[in-house]
Amino acid sequence: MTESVDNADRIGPVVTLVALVMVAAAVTLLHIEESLGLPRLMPLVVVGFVIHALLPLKFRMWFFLLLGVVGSVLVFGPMGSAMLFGAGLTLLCACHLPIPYKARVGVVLSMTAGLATLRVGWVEVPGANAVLPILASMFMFRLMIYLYDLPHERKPVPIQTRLAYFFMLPNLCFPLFPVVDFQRFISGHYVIEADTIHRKGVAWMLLGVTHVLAYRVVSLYLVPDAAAVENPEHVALYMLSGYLQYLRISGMFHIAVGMLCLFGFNLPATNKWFFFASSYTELWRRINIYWKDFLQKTIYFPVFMRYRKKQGMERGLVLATIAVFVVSWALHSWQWFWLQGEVLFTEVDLLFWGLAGAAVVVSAVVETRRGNVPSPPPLPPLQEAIARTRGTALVFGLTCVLWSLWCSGSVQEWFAILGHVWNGTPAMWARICGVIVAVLAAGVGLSWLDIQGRLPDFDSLLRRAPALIGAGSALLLLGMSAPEFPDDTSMLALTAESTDGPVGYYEGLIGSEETGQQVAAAWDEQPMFELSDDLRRHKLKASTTGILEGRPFQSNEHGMRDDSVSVDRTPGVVRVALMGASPEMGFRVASGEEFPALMDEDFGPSVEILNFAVAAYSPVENVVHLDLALAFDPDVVLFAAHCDGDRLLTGALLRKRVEKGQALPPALQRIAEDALSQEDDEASLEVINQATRLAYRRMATAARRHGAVPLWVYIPLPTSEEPCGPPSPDDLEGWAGNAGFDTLRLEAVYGQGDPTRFAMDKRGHPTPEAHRMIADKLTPALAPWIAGIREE
Amino acid sequence: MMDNTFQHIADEVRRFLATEVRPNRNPEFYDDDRALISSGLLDSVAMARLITFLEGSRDVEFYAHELSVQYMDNVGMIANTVLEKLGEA
Repeated sequence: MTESVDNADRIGPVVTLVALVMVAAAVTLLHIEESLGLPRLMPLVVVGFVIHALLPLKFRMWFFLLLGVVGSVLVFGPMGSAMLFGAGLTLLCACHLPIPYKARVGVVLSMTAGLATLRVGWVEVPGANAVLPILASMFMFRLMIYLYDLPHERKPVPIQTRLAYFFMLPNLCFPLFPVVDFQRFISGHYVIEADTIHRKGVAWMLLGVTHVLAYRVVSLYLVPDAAAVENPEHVALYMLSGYLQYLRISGMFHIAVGMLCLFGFNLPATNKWFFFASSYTELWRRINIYWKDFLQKTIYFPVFMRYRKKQGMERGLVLATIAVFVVSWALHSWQWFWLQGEVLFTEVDLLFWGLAGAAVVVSAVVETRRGNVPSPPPLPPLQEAIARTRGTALVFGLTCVLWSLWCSGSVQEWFAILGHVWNGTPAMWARICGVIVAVLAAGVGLSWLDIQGRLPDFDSLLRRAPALIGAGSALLLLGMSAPEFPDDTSMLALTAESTDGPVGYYEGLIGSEETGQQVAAAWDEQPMFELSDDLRRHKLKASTTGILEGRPFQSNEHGMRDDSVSVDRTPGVVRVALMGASPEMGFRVASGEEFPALMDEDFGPSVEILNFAVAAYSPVENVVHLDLALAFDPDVVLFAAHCDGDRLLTGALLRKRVEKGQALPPALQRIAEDALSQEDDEASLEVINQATRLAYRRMATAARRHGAVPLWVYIPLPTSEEPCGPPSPDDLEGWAGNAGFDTLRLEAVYGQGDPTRFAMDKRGHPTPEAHRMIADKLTPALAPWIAGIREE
Repeated sequence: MMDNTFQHIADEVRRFLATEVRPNRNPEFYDDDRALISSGLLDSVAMARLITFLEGSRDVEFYAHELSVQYMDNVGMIANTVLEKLGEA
């Protein structure tokens, strides 16, 4: 690359920038990978891209590194960022110690063991659990490649390039990151014209967004609940959807590597038409190209070169392929350990890698032997198309089956699901066969067009036409932000990456955040929160301002999501203390959009709604948190209840405390131990329900002792789970009434139609519109209690 | 006596790729600068066969770390790597 080439076309870069802005807008408005913080990173990426592109070439690598530092401070704060860079730099320095190479490797291994003790919690360092997965995702594989390449470096590599290789900006929001090769990273930097690399990056980011959206469609419409699988159609969907969920990974990888291309790293594609592979070797080479390259470099060729002379080429290849799959299995467990903090060793995992390895070995042997005989004459186009489609269908079908095994909890569970295949009716089988025949016919048609050269090359089309990228993004935005969608289709429900169906390795790794335990764990690590040394575990930081889940967030001087408020009361003003969890705190909406703030406005100056709700608080935590609320001498303690969320959070709290050996109040300790000793879910649920009832009694009693009216309100969330249970809203209301609460139920809050239109995610966090609806229902419903207090 | 010039080695590599690895391509397709590994044209099995061929046709030995984009990403690089080895020998 030369500066003259850079300046040759002044229009092209502007068009690329416009396309990038469109893609960034699509990421933000469609909440692409919001739980991983991607939309938060996009402004930095866009601004960084512009400045980076304007800088002289010699400063660009330093600037890319600086962006990584700035992004890290934004994500982890100064302390977390210092930990991340401190640990990372120490590891990198160890690679360059002036001692023999093997001794350096030993030092790095010792340091890794030290970090592992932090990851499993044997040694506790505040904040380490938030930083370690990202540190690990930067170093757990790249350090292996780096150490492998270090003795063979042919040219000196500048320090900023070495640092940039590890501290890559997009890594901050993608813990599951493609294994970028060190040599390719350094050799591809602005190796061709800048704008060509940038356009490729934008195109891949757009492609990544479409993959994530396709994943959402799969998870919303195709994925069956494993427990509801009962006939061959369900079995087929279960298998298909498990494999299709890999779209999320390919989407994330495209976005991540696309971002790297924006900063001049001319990297190859991470995944390439893998659903269309027609042999297992081809699938292995396409589904995760960086992973294949990583293992090819560090395992496959070293093993092959070692054994080929003694064993012959074919045996050498077989041994190398076997070694690759054994190591691949081990490294997936290694990755799981660093990202999840647990060791992964399951029979389905072993079986999956064993069977996948066997398939690739057979395929590689066939390929090697085919290479030793003269090639047959080419087939006529139609026969060639049929042969290709047959190969693709076979590989796709078998991979679906194999993937479903990987997604299953156990081999027995997998067989139990497969067993439902015998429950089909002739009509069902006719439908299944019809779909298969139609898909095969379409496959033959497309293959025939491809053989005739009549299909466009989508990759180069996207790269060469930034206007097309912009148009694609605009279409996505227009389509996805449409307020109404036909029938029960809610595009708002498509705004979260989560699923209820087969949960495979990657789903588990990225975290679908479906359980209260995961939610609570995630919140423990948010910068808006801080650890609490009591039963609550975490609480809102006082007087903090920032961005939470992409929305402006601020807390007042008392650690409440509310405006500044005095502990002392204003005479004549009724004071309501609202207790609750994330829906009340206004998770995923901006400050001022949450319904307690709206109610405060609606009531006017004669009533104060003080919002004490904190995300991931179950009723049990609210018992402790109530002490803070009672210090404000409220007239009403308003506790907002939701059924499933409360149950999950309560169960998670008890489990986590007991498993970590942390003390609970005696009554809860007994309940928690009982819960854990229960073998069946029903008995365990009943014990968790005891904890909820106990919490209700404590809250109601404490409120009444302070002269406040305890009022329990059930607020349905906009999820398809409503009415949920057990415990049902009726059960909860009964318990609240028995505990001494006055009770109130909000009904039909979201009008007619599918309530998920008003959900920010699958957990049912309300949209700003839904917060308005809740406020409109709850404000008048609260009026009788307000009037009663005024009369008193 | 083997002709160990750059051009001769490069032509041999081209012919090998065109006849043994991708029979549907002409040798000219593999010019000196065409990316082989980074473009996916040369997969691991093809690479193994190529270095077995090169080691068999000349008295050279490859090392695992050399089977990479750094040393063998195009015909020119492959020919240079072989020439370097012959110079070492």
